[in-house]
Amino acid sequence: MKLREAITRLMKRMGPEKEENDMQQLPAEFQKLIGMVDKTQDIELSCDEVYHLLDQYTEVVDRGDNAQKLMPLVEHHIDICPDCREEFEALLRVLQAAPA
Amino acid sequence: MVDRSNEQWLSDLKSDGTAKEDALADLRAVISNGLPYALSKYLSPDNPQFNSLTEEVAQDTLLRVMDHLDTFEGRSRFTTWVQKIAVRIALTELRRRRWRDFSLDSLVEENEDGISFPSLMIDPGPDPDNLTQRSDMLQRVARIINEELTEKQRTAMVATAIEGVPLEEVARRMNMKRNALYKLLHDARLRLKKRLANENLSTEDIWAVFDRG
Repeated sequence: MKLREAITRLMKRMGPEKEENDMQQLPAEFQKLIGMVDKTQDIELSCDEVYHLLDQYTEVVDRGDNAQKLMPLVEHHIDICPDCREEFEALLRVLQAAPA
Repeated sequence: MVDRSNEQWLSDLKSDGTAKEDALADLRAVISNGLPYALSKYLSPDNPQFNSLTEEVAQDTLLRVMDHLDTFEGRSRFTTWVQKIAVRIALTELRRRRWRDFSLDSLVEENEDGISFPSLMIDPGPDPDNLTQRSDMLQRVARIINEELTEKQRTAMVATAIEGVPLEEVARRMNMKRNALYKLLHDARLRLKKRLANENLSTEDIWAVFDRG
């Protein structure tokens, strides 16, 4: 029991907003880290480059066009970068709520 | 609200008098109407912070749009370009508030001598003997990370990939731009990918150890 408590305390070092039930957290985060390494490409767009194209890319997705084919580097960055993905998803919600 | 083409938006916003005032008022409405959807995952309109945040974001967005009108290239609708700017400003502010109390110091201390994955966290499954293999694999990957990455890269990777802190907030604490942090992380991921390849260790090999019950 003491060991479990120690582990729980260890896991509580993790950032704010984490759930109490963290016992399975580490393998999932470890998996995420390795997954990101696996997806890594020699050439990737930076956050600034993606931001520059984000309005165009989001309209492509909103229209239902093949974003993976039309803008693969943006698609890849959004898959890897959580901040840019959040911004893409937020912008897409706006476009979907107010169609052109 | 007047339905404007991209050219009309630009023309009106660059004009003087009522055409500009009308366009600014319409643009503010476009931003304000979009923000509840942009923020829906993070902040309810019922939240006491909502109105002040959206007003602040709308104002900052208008200022930034007017300062950067000449950089609009017409790759999208003008209003999408404006909403993109509003989304960036809003989420940047939300991240700053949400992670206000987070410090990188503890992470730096914990990972000063290298990253480690507590193997006790692994579910041993029905075959307890497999726990050793899983533990060995975690230690092997941790060793590769520690040998390949600088302390700065390790801290950034733990903060973003394991702790889930936004790049924006990690970058702020490292006194760098988010763009530069992404490049630092890209370089770190590339190093790890090449090292794994050199050791003939594929992600399938790694998952195979964990998939075995």
